[in-house]
Amino acid sequence: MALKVKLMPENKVVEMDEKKARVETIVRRLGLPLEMVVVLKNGNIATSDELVSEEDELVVMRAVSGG
Amino acid sequence: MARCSICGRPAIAELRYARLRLCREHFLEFFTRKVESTISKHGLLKPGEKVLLAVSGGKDSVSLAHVFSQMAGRLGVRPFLFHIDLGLGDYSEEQRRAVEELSRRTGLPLIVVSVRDILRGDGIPQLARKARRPECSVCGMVKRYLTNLAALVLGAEKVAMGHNLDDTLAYLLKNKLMGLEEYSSKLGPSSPSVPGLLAARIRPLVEVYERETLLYALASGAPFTHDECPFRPRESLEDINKEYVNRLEEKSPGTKLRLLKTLLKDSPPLRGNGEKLGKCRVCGMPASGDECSFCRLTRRVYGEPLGPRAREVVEASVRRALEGLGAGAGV
Repeated sequence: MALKVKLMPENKVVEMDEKKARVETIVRRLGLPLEMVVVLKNGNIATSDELVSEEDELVVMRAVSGG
Repeated sequence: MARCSICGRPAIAELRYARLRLCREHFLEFFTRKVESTISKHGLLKPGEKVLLAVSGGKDSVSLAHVFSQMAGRLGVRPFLFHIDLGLGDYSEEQRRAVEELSRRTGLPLIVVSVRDILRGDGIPQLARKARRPECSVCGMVKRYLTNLAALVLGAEKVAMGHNLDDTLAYLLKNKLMGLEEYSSKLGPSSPSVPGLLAARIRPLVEVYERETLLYALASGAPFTHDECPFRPRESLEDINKEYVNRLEEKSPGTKLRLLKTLLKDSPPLRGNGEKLGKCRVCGMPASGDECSFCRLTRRVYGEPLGPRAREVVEASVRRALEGLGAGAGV
């Protein structure tokens, strides 16, 4: 098992090699500026220093404009 | 785990440009104060004014509406939600549901206009196809027309838009890159009214980071849709500009706010400032020639200008919203 990240609004799941990582590392690995995302860990807004493990449900929301 | 700079509870927001980490409660307060400060600094609203909030159902406009429901009493203004159902299938339906729920939760009256009621059953994609024009340009024109019409029918002094700092910078940079700076003054905190023709536009979120509106929408629990419009172009110049300014922001927090000041200072005032604006001979709305772009386009597509039909539909929607307020509202 490895870390799974759901990317929104694309609704795409990305798998990572690590079993544990900080939010900041995960977002950088996705190639996104931290300034452009909000991360939810188990449904709660997480700060960049939070540690995430493979049991956690992680959602990376890009701050995009709808219209 | 990061802690709130004010109370020490777990933080949800890291605002490097302000050197703050904030818990949910203090972030919501910070956001509201920031918007109020933009409004007072630029004199965007006066007590007693009616303000039409253009609400798509996305995070920015929903945050704008939610924050207005919090501060309308203090500012002494009367906010109304205004939503246009663009007829874009599931996307529009979801947006509409979010806005209706927002109206229920905030208690703000809602005016909804469906383009299909005006365009003989067509939504924006059908109109664009028949007109052989890109969806986004037709959509922008129809939205501007209907929003202004609703403001005039309601007698609202101001239309408030949800454009955030990142959106604004993306457009300002685009204008700069394409040598179109003369259009940039329209992107600042306010654009003036032309009495009887054009309601003044205000942008109270112009200093709010895009990430902050998403955080606010999530933290306040306000209902919003996080989908992208199905017609949104991929990798537009605006998208590239947004990513660029956010990379700069990461290197040097506060860059975005500084850039906003610089770019707005650089933009020359719009030539003529709307004085040359004429009146459409069909519908009486603003026009650069003798017919407005809405009447011109609908005449070409349907054989008849639909400005008067739009007015009937908007008037009926405004009436419904006012009836919902009850007779004692004195609007």
